[in-house]
Amino acid sequence: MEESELEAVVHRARLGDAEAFTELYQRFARRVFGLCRHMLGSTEAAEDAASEVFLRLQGSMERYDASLPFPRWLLSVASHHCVDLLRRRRIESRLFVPEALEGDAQNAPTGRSPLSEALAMERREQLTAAIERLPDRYRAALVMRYYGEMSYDEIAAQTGLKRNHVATLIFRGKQELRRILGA
Amino acid sequence: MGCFTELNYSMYVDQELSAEETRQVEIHLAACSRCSALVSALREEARVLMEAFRESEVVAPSPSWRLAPVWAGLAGAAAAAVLGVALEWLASAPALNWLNPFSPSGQLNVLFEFLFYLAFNAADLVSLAGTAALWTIMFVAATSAMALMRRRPASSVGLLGVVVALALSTPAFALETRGGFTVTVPSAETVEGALVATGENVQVDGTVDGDLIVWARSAEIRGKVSGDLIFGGERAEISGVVDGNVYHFGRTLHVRGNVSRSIYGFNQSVILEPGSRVGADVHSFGQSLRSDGAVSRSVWFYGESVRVKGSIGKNLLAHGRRIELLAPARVGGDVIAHVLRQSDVRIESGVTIGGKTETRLVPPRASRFTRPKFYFWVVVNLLGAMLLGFAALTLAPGFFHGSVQAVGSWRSLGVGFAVLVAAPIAMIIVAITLIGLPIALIALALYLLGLYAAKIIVGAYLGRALLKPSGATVGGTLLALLLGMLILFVLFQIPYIGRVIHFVVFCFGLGALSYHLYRAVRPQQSRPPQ
Repeated sequence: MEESELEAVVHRARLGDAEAFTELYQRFARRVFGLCRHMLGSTEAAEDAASEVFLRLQGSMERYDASLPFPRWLLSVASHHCVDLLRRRRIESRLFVPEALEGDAQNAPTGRSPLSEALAMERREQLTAAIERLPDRYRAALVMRYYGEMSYDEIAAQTGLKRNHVATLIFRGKQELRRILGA
Repeated sequence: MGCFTELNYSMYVDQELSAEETRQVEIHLAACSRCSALVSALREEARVLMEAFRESEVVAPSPSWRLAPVWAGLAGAAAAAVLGVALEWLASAPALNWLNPFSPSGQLNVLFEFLFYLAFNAADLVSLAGTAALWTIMFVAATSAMALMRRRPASSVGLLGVVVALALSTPAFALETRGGFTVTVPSAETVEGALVATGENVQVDGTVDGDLIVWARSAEIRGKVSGDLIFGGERAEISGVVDGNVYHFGRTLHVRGNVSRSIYGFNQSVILEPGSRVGADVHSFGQSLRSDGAVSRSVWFYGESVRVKGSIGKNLLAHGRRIELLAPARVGGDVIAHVLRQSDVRIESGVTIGGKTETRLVPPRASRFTRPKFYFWVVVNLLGAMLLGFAALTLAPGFFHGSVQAVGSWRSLGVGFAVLVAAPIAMIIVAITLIGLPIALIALALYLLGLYAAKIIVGAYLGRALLKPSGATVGGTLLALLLGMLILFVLFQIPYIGRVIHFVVFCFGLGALSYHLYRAVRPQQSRPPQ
């Protein structure tokens, strides 16, 4: 779908055109599902979450202000919903406990070889498995950044964290991945 | 300047440093080969992560992934069709009929075994079902109340009022209930008002001054019931007197005594012993009727065989395979027999018939597939489904697609089964409280609409899985719906198995709808971003 074509569809959807909603659904269902799948870790939960995102899309469409590209906005709505769901899974609602900003973040570059070295094609599956094993807060941050391609500010807005916390989460998430992979 | 932290480099790679910070990092990188190597490794890492996510997106469920269960379903349907044909063959061999659970006598056996089971465990099951239904009502009420309170605090007051009124209202009628292995009303006792008796065996030697409702394996009425007798279970014997009507759901009804009004039998056999008397009519829907007693008015029989040796005041109207009138039978009015062959009716010479005797031959039923009417209704059905589907797509596309998507989960089957079973029980419980009747009627209408919509949702799911419409238009979705509905329709036509498929489709569809509806109305915990 061309950029302008998508804009037109989004515009029609904002006016309540059912066909336009169907088009958006067909176009983005898989990406939204993928995001939810990565964030929530189970196919069933992801299906529910994705369908709920589209269910609520009709109501939230009027808040879309077109300053963001639609796909990114939609993925940020979806990740917001997933963060909510992750929070609800916990006894206390604090999914993102404040991380100490000092410590290793202040250290000089570690001697550990970064993730990429261990990531020849045949190890991709291990990487996917390792992502699933990450604690929710790290996985959510990595998914928003590298799947949703959201900026730190956008992630901060969705999670209610400060920008430097987001940076730390992403950084620690990657470190944790390396640890799991034994890199 | 010293080296930056790895966190800084990570942010740099993600292009999240300010312009000034970026400039400083770049100056350092130009001078430090170790950091420069780290940064390119981090960049590679980010790229790998993005790719890993993208790749696993391809692995995520796609229509082709979902096709497997659909093909498995179709293969299952084909197997079912073969089984259906086998059962048809079985049905045509009368000696083996008892083997076939779907033959009329097989069905009766299954039904009775179920009834005995119920009768044996009646008290436990009734209370279990009651509890389940009560919990369902409370759950639904509580969820709705919560949803309303979050959204419109004012209207919740009214709803709470209704809930409280429902909870406090008592059933519209009061009954005396007795349970136990053997329930007896001794000959000296008179029960005032209606009596509900459940147990293995119920014996009434005394008097029930009202209706008697019995749920038991067997019942013997040797005393007197001044109202109606409603019996569910295996065997009932009336050697005393029932002043009202007798409604019998079970295997056999033996009458030796007197029934002042009519008998309605939905059972295997009704036996009116010599000396018995029925004050009005006998309506028998079941396998056999044997009447050696006296029926003051008419006898209506729908079943397999009827044998009359006693007297009938007015008419005998019988639909069956074997109709016999043996001497000294006496029929005051007409004898009208609906049978397949003339030889199915046998009237002995000593029989007296006041009116006319007529044998109407029922033509063997032609296959419904040969009648145009059948196809007319197929078209009407499909059109109705398309119309409702179109309305749903226009008014609530998100809900429609969400529900269709939810069909694919086993949870839908479970939820659907629970709703299918619990909703009617909940409606009955609500209906017997005076205030709840209108609510129950509205709920019934919604339930029926839900059952209709369930098929459409499942049809749309099937069609989507097979067609994988990429056109993303209402037209494409409707085409998929049409295909799905056609497939379902063909599956429903498979003898016997079609009914099972129908049931499963109801469960899946109703489950998906209910679950999705629940999510649509439940309170939103947080708002999507602005």
